[in-house]
Amino acid sequence: MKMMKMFYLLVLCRLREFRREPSAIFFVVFFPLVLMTVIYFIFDFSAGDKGDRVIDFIVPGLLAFSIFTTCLFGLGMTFVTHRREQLLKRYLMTPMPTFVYILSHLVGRQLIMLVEMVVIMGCAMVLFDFSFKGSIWLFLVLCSLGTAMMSFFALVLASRTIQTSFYNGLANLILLPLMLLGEVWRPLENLPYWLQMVSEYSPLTPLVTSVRDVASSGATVTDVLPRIVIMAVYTVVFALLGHRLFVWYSHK
Amino acid sequence: MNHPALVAKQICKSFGSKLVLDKVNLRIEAGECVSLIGANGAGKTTLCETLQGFLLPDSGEVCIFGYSPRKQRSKVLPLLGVVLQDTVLYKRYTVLETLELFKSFYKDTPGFDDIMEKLQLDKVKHKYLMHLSGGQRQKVYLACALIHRPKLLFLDEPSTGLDPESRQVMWQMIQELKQLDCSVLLTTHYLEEAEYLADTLAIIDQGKILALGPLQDLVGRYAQYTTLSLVFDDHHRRGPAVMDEMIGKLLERKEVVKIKSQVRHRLEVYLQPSSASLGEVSVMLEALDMKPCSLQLRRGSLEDVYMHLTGKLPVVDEVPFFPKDQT
Repeated sequence: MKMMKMFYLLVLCRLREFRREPSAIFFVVFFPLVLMTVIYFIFDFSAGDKGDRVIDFIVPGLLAFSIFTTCLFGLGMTFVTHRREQLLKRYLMTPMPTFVYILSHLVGRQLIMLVEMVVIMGCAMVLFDFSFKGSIWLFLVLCSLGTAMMSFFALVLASRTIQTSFYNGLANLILLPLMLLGEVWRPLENLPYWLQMVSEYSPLTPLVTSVRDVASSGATVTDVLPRIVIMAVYTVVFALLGHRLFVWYSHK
Repeated sequence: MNHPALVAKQICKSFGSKLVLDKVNLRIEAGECVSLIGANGAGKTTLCETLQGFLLPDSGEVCIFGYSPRKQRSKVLPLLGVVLQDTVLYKRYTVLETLELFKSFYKDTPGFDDIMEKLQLDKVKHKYLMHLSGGQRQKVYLACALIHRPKLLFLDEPSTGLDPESRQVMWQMIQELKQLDCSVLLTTHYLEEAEYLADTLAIIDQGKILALGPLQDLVGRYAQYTTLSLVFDDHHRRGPAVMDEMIGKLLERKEVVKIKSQVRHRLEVYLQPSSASLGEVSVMLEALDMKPCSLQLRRGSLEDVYMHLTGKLPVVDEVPFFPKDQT
């Protein structure tokens, strides 16, 4: 019971941090909407059949990319800041089990992902006539798995450093190639075959393509199963790596 | 619990080839306050982190109430309260939310109800930490450390940023905790704070505890000289050359042991205890034709002990020495 209350308060803490941080609200809620609107004015969203329009390609990719960036910058940066400000060390001096702290971040990130999903998909449906074709539950599972994978990825990247500037650079270094190879903005058919293979097995691509296939083409579990497996493997590998590498404080 | 609050035996710790802790022994009894005093880089933080179980010593043993802080952490942590020097808690969290969060970490929190009143946090309990002054934030950190009535409290520079009134409140609270058998390991730069709170003082330099004991013992052993403080006026006209001449004259006197410090027109001199009466000092100054605008005689203090053992003032950075080339 005590543990549940501790966990509840820590998750609440994550949500309050998010709600009270203007930049977090901006990047999770407003930035994707602004991006969607800009793309709307550049491309003709109404051209083509439903399922094959630019919007059907862009919106699910945008959601997956948003999950990726908010995990990378929101969660990873929080770990680095908490380490630098000795909050992690202070927590180590309390009887709170360390896994509860990490778990609160993972659960908090899932709840924030729900906000992202509702905002992006809702606005796309209401404002830009996006039609959702697949199973909402499968879509939710994919987003949840993708969030878990990216959260552990952020945990690994933020496992040692206490410098936010270093982490920022590292995250950007990771972000750019994964975004280019992730089929976020356009298909990768014109890339060399070997690069397409690299893309297929990079962490972001299975998330982007699976949520896109479910939302825009109505893909089933069987269709996206290989990509679920890839994401699950990444999640386990990142979790193990994070467990091995993560340090709670660094001696000055 | 019959065990001492903390026992450290022969702790050695190196980082690479640098020996940071050299055979450190420390013992804190229930209700005792031990103050660790040392300059930056003396090894205070490393010692604290070793005692708290963060660092594994190369050799030696640490026990907190009979438990190992590394191997039996689940038994040790509920007994500890900690105020770390550079911790920043959630900035966009209110005082009340912060305390409720920390309350949830402990099974029993008998100190929760009256902690805010005692630390005068009631009026700011709905304010974000980012909107509090440094002193108020420090109080919140202290409140988080005291919420479960710990048996051993680690305080690392707890009064940094506090105004004099808040500092008195905090000192009073630590005294009350001691009466409740709470032991305290206080790390501080403020010698006044250490003198006021500590039952035992430990002076650490270059990883070694140079002296350990109650203030009176240390003063008796290491600071038997009396300090004569002289303040001269019109220092602008006197200049460093005149001050140097006065120092030369003083050092020729048999009553004077050595010059403790010179900061602009303020001079501190160690005198032999036998010649440390006001009358004798007046005669000596008259003979030297010195007319200070104020003079003060005081017995040995913790500062003198510290200087004797380490050869430096405890807060060297804050002493603005008179530049030699300025007239």
